[in-house]
Amino acid sequence: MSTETPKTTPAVSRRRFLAGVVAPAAAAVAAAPLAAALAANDAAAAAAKKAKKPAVPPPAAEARPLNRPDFAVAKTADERAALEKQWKQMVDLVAGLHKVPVETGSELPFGALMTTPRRLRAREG
Amino acid sequence: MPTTTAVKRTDLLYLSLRELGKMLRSRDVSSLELTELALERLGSTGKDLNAVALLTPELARDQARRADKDLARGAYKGPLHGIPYGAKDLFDTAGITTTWGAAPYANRVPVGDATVVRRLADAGAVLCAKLSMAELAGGLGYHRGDASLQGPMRNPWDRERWAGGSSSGSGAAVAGGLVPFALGTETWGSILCPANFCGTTGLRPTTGRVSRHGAMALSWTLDKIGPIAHTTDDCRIVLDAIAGKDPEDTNSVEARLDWKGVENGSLKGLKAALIPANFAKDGEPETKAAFDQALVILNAAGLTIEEAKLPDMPYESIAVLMLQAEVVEAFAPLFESGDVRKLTDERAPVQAEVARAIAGADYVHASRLRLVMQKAMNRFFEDYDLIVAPGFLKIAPGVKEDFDTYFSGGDPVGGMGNLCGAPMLALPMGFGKAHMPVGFQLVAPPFDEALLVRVGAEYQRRTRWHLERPIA
Repeated sequence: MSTETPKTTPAVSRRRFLAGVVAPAAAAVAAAPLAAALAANDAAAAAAKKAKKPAVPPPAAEARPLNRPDFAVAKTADERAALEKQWKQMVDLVAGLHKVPVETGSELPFGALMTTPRRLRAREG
Repeated sequence: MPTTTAVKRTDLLYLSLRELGKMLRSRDVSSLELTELALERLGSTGKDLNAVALLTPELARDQARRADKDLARGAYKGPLHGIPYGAKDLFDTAGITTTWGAAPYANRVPVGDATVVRRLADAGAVLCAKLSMAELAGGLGYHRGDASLQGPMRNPWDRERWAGGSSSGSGAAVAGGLVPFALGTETWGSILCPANFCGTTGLRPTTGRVSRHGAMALSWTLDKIGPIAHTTDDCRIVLDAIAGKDPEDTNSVEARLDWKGVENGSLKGLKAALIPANFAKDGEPETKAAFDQALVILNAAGLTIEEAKLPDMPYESIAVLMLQAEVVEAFAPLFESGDVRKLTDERAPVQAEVARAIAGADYVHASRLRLVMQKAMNRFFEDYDLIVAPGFLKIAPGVKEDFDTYFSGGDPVGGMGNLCGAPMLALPMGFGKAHMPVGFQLVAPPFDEALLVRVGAEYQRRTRWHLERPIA
């Protein structure tokens, strides 16, 4: 693929871009386990108090994107409406993806996309 | 064998590659004559269709003269020797403007050739034009057929209709008889869509089969390069020339193209999964009738066809999320500079902002789901040799029509096929409403392009849809 940097003059540096987008996302990711841990502790304490009651599994965590767009990017009311609509679609899409179970420990694909299936019976004969 | 006296000059570029090759070898036509014809047609009809980003006459004449000289001294390079072609305007060509179909890159001049351009030159092919495309190959989404630096991308069958995209000029140039074949790219539908809408044949190879070095990056995990041509056999010839490992593209693989059995003549013993589509809700009855007829023909050729359901997975959601997240990185300088507002599609800045907000964790989650899905498809392909499905359920929309309102329902196999990196073949199956071409698609397991060619070639031996052409 082309690795050439296109001839455009960045108005915002990559560092600033990363600071604006990636850093908040990273902070949110970092904060999430802590918040989850605290919540889990509270839940555990509450559960201990009610030890006699049958254990109720906690509801599945609501999946949601950790970031959000910069709505100031929208220059008109139409753009703002379009951005809100598309962002809602993306949030729903991500939530839908998180409802599909991925077995714990299953790997992240890296490299070859899909192995060639074994030769098909019809052409083996 | 046709000769120039038997074939009208304007019909030459509708001949198959093997027919043209025979004529070149027997000196019934020279490469320079074919090249001049292609340049003439690209410069007239091609401009009317907005199919051409830039003609490359100097390079073309130089390559054609060399091809003729080599032929004269008996140095024949193979079936592409002396054959003119066009390349989507996202393949780098040394010293020749390559715009990616987008205003912010209107003056971009690469220093080297893309690997595919170099390989075609090595095979003796003659590059006559850079062909128009949807801006950034639709990387930020596009909603109308006029979202291109080159203007509305018109269909040779009806110039008020879209040629399909994002390899729009590639589809239109082949269908319009401007070049015998063209190179396109596909991230999600960009070869198959114009092939189907223009009534041509398109082969989208397995991910990694063809080097992407020197091609615009849109999505590193989804981008693929392949031919659009008149016949399945033509696509095979082009794929043979461009496939193979390239040290410049670490994702390219060395996997032998084994064409043994391709000319078998019968499809007996092969079993296809038919993935049905909801024509009643999302399609047109004329398209359904054409697809049903295609199934009858395949069945008569010996193919067992069994209705099946793909594994239940959110294919389109995975593809949307991964594609948009990768686009953010691929075009980071465009977003940082604010030049995204120079694009034709007014919704691009909004689309870009949504893509930028996708969380890394969600991208990783989608990637893991993709692997779950690929494993499920591996199991699916143990029961079936290939998949057959309709292409678009409607004819091509108008060039200014809003896709969001025109298209309802998704492509039944597009998301799955691209996420698997599986090869797909688009074949013409006749005409739908308003005498516009319609087509269907075949999907094979990865690296089994030979199976697609076998089935596609047999289908085209039994039909004449690929020989139909629009009135000039």
